This record gives sequence, structure tokens and C-alpha cells, in this order.
Amino acid sequence: MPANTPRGISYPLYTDPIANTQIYFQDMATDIDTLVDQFSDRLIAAGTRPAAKASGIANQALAPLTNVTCTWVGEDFDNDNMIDLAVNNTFITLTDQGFYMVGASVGLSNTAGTYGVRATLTFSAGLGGGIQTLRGSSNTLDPSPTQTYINPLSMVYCDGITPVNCTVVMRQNAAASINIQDRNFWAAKVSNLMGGF
Amino acid sequence: MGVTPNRGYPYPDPTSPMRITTDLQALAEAVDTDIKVEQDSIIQRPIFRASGGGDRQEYGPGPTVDVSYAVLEQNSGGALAASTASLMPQTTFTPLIPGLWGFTATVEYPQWLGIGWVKLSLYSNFWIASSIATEMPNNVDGNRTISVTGVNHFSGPGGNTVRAVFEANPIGTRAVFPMFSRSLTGFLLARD
Repeated sequence: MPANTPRGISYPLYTDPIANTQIYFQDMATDIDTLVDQFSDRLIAAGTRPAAKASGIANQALAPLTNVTCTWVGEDFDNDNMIDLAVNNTFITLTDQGFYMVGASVGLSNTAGTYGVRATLTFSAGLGGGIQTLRGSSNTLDPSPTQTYINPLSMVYCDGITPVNCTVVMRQNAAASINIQDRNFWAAKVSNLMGGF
Repeated sequence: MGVTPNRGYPYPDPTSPMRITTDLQALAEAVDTDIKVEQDSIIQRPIFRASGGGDRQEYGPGPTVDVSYAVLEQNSGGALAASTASLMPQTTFTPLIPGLWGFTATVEYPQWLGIGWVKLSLYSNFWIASSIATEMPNNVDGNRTISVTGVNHFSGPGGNTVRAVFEANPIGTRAVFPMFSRSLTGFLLARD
């Protein structure tokens, strides 16, 4: 009766009949084949870790003292079905278990006066978020920059069971409305906390 | 002679003649070759880092200048062509691994009187990200640094490039100023 190594590779014992050698051979080769193939799959998965990036260009109005969730039009990269603009044009959804880096770059038009701009990365309830704030520019110094830029960055864990929806929420307190302009939003898995890469 | 379904390892089927040592050698060599291919695929994460070295870069009246890098400090995992180091200084770089890449650029500049703001951007075929900094009204804090981080997809050899662009006001009337330490780091986040 053949035995197995701890990882399941079968091998014959001294007491096994020599007439079955070809069968033992095939079983061993197949077991090694399965193990190496699993190993190879995990290596490939480590290189193609889930990531996505969405973008938008068209103006999106940002009225004073109002939370506005950025909308996305382009799907620049998505190797894990993390973006589905037809279903929701504000989300990147994390489904694969692991730790993710999430960030955005948002350009805003300017308006007169001194005011604040805030970009918040929001995650599904209970998972916190990331916030960056900066002072808007009255743009009286020069014809450029025509935009103010803000780049929030955060990390979030997805347990692989409950999807994590990520959004970018903007707010400002100028006297007038400004526009959200060039913008992009991305998420990339940087590790698993358990079980591997 | 049969072969396994996934990796093609050879084994004797029941009708094969008994050649235990030969068949063991064939299996061992097939596994050895296959494992080596997998082992060789485990490489350092593709990453590159370029810096200004000891050189400063002049910034004229503008409006913008592509940041120039004199030294390629790091180029691992096939991030850039091996010849890149010999082509320095460079302002643009072509990541060779198709996929999603992250970048961080940093520029150090002196306390320029009369400057109201500075901007540092990352560009590929299109804008990636920008940071702006409003300068302090007086020159109390010496040299300053601005950084920007962004993420973009790159298609690989012969494809899109990345560059950092610096800008400061007042455009057209500003004197020539130097940029000191500067760096651009790129790292692969996910392959296609």
C-alpha cells in the first residue's frame, strides 16, 4: 500500500508488489504535477495582484459646503472586475482578500478668496477612510495653475467575504461653486494578511 | 509512455517495459527543469529610481520644465531597458513590464523670493497627478521640497513613457532658478 509525503506525493513501500510499479510511477508523477501547478498558479497570482484605475475629465460641479462623490467615466485598468461603470460610476469594489493601497488625484478649478478643499476616501461602513485637505488658491498670482490638486491616499483591508466599496468624496467652502476636473482613482492589492503573498 | 496533465511530466504506463532507473531519471529531470523555470520567474519587484545626482537643474522663465535626472540609481526586475543607465541624463522613462505602475517624484528647490506657488506633476500620454504648494510669504525656512504620487497603466516596450514636470510662477518674468535634489521612483503594482 503506497504511502504519502506530507504534501501528498505518493510513493511505494518495500512491501508493495513490484508488478504495480508503473501505477506507482504515474501516481507519483501526477501528485508532483498537481503540487507544482498549484505553486505556479500562486506565483502568477502574486504578479497579477488585483488592481484597478478609473478616470474622468468632464467637469463635475462642487457646490460650497456640499459632499460630492466623484464620478468616473474611463476604466483605465481592471484585472479583477473591480470597476463596473454601467452598474455604479462612483465605486471601486475590492473583493479579493488582502490589504490594498487606495488613492486618487483630483484637479479642481479655482475661485476667488481663500477657502478649503477636502478629499475623503470612503470605504464600506466600519472600515474607516482617508482624508486630505488643503487650502484652495484664489489664483490671483498668475494665469497658472488653473487648477488646485489634491491627492488622498489610504490603506484598507478586504476580508475576501464582504466586498469593500471605495469612493472619493469632495467638499469645499468657497463662496462659489467650483468644478472637479481631471481626476483618477485607483486601488492595488499590496499583500494578504493571511495565507500568502 | 504517458505524461501528466498540467506539467507534462513523463511516466511509464502499464504497457511500457520496466525501465525503473531510466524512467526515474526522466521524471526527475522533467521536474527539475520545470521547477527551475518557476524559480527563475521569482524576481525582485520591478522598480527604478532616478536622481539628479550632484547636479542642479536650471529652471528658466517657464512656464514648465521637464525634470531631468542624471543618475539611474536602481533598475531591478526588468523595470527599464538595461541600456538606460548609459543614456543618462534623461527626462522620460519607459517601464517595460505591462501593467499598473506607481510613481513618486520629488524636487528640492531654494527659497525663491517672489514665488507664489510651485507645482509638480506626473505625465504619461495624459496627466497622471499633480501637487501644488503655496510658498510662505517670507524666506524663513530655507530649501523646500515638493512631492507627487500617482498611478498609471503602461503598455510595455515601445509604449507610453513617464516624466515629471515642474512649474512655478511668475511665468515669463521669473529669473532663472536652480532645482537641487530630485528623484523619480517607479514600481510595478500589478501586471497585465
